[in-house]
Amino acid sequence: MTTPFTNRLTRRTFLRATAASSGLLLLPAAGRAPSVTAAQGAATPAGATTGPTFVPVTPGGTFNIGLAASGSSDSLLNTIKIASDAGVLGNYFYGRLLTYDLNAVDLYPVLAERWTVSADGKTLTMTLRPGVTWHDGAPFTTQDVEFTVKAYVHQDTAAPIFAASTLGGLVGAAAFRDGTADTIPGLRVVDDLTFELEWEQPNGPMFFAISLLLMLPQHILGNVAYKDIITHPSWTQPVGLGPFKFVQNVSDQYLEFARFDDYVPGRPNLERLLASSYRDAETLLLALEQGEVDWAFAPPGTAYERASQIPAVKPIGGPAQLMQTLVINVDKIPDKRVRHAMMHAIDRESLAATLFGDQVTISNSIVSPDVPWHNPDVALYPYDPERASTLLQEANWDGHDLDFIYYYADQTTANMVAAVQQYWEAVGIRSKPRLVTGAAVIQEIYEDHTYEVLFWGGPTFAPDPSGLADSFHSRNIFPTGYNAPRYQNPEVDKLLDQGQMTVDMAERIPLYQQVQTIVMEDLPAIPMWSPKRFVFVSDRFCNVSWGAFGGYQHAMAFAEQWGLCS
Amino acid sequence: MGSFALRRLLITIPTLVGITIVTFITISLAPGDAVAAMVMANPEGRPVGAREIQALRARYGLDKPMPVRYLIWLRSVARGNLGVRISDHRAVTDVIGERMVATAELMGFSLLLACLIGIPLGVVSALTHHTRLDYALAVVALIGISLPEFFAAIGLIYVLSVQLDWLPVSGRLTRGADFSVIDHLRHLVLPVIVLSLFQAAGLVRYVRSSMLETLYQDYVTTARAKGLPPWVVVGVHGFRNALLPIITVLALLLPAMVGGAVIIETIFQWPGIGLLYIDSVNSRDYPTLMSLVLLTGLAVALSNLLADLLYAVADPRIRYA
Repeated sequence: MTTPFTNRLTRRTFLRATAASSGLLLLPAAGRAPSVTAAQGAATPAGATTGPTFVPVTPGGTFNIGLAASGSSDSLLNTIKIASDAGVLGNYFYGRLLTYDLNAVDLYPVLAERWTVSADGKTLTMTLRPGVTWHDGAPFTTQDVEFTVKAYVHQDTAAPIFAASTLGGLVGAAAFRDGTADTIPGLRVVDDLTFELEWEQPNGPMFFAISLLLMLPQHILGNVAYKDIITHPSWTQPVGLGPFKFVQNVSDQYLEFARFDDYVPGRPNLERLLASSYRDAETLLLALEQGEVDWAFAPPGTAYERASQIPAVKPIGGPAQLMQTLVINVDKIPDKRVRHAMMHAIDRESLAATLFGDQVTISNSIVSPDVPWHNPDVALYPYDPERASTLLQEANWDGHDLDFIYYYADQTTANMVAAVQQYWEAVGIRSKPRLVTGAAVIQEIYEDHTYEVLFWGGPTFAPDPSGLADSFHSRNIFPTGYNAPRYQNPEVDKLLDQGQMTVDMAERIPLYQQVQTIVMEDLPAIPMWSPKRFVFVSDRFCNVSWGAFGGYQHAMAFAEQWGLCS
Repeated sequence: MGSFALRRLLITIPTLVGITIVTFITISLAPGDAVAAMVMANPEGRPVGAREIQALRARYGLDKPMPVRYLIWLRSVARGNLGVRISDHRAVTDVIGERMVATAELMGFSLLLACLIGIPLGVVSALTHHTRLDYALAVVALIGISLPEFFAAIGLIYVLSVQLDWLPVSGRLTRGADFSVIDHLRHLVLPVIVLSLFQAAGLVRYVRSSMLETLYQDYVTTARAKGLPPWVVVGVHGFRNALLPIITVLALLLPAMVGGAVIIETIFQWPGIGLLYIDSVNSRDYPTLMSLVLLTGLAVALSNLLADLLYAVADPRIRYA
């Protein structure tokens, strides 16, 4: 009933009227390098020139966010503790040093004020905004930053892998991670507001990594052992840095947040923010219709269509810059010809048009067409069932049933999977689809790895191309990482490593495009489409916007600007 | 009778242990564990490393073999400690305790309403049996029993809440508002109606057949022959005796009072035991789940015992050895 991507909310602040995908593609951005170029040794925060525009609003009001939570509101609090991918609560409760602008390319300062990168691309010097305080009044200083970085690096904390791994490249971080060293030499506090981070190698995704860091309060957790951070009792009354502070958790009903008057970037307009949990997706839509909630995510397909018909709400969103693909277990289907045949057998255009209308954008590469590093010149596998049959015959396909798993629980996806099953049957590939959710996901996809096909939204996220390494670098095969297809190609590894160590985006893009060329030849994953993601928001509220990039991390930025329309 | 009750209570203990063993094996065999559920709250998101997952598992004792974990849990329970919920370390007794009131009001009111509707209608049905009224009530009851709960719930929400705006869609209170009795009662209306309609439908049929059986007994014919007024015949001699099997049926419905109603609570976002059940299963939170199973098992055992005892009290012909 509930969808796993309950927290996967993204939206684009571009003109909603131009819903046609061409108006929202980032292709215009492809030719322009982001304003942070470390090679020159200096960088300026981009926010001042490319910040979003807001309209004046009436102060006050309560905004109720409806979340199809996979658990109670208690588990929403739980995602806070697992950190980084804190979902919905990320940007209005937590504090970040910086975030991405709503175009997913430029950096926007939040709690950091300015930064520079050394000429060799290895050292970042960052200065915090003065006068920032935690919700309990304690000052926010570099002590908190130092504590947070160390916590993310240390293995006992169980922090999400990406931030940890890119921070793990800091000078001396590996020893600190294992517990053999007490400090990280590459992490240096200069004064209360300025700190330095030095990496062993130039670090391309350094800003992306830092944007994922949600600051932890040193004055509360500083003396707690790393392994105990996650279970510390202070999380029942968490303290953050964002525009809204925690008030209470009414178990299984909602979380309440109140305006934090001392929020330095700007006093919030709304008086309160509620996050209500809904176990049943149908009830959530009814609540949106009746006005019980002011915000609800509607997955592409029938839910989106229903929500579009509700008069008092409007959709906000756009390309999620996320790719949904059919991952093929290359250990079980080692013959490339079979994998090619599997892609030739599916008419992706018809499937998308029928099920999702214009809410998805077909991509012929494993990267979304909305990102600057998308490569349109890869090998193509158009719908051609005859070619598919020929390839299968050449490969002597034995026709055994494929174990076909997926984790989106909505009906439209179930229909899509059934349709794919039909397409494959028509060329002689039999499969058995089944739904895998929640706790079973890690075990089925990564640990057991006995499935043969997996439909998922993989982590090739914008705004940094290094996400490709999550899926396709051989060092990220379980148990070190989450390369779900267990794909190994030394050439791809080399390119991905090089991309990681190159700081200038203009130099990185060709590397990742080359990766796509190779991967699309090997085809460990069949690219389907890039979905657009929309939330439906009550039209009583203005300035509600999202960064349109896959992942929660940058969703709901600028929550202090939201307010009742005047 | 006292020794009977005592023996029954003693047998309950190994029964409950058996139930917990079966539950524990089942939840342990399900793919994934509590840590997997926690870190994969969002499958599209940034994953947590395998090393970190192992560290978390060790932290929560989830890396131990199944029998060991069970015995650790059993020993803890024997000492009176039901453990803590894995996700937030809150005491299970607290977690369950804060749901009890919500569950009791939902189940209590719906049972009450079910009786107020179902019993009189069942009596009427019996008294007018094989007439058009009886057939009409039979059809209504059949619809009530056959209609899926979630269908009726969603339908009622759509009509009464979305279209007419008479009642709230979900929850136990208006989000963000202070407590108010009226608000609380308004939120109770829809879930109680849906739940009680289903219970009432069943009760109508039970009461009808029980009444019919009683009304044809010799002593009722005698009472009528003696010239007693109809309300005495039906009310005193008929109904009171027909009530005996009804009481046992009601007593067997009591475990639902602590078990909650999973479907209704899910649809209406009612923070009761049912919702806790399903959340515990999904998050593989075995301390909470085991305690819930113990609680429900105990409730079933006790209510069965109660039903048997009540029957013996009500019917002097029954004696327990």
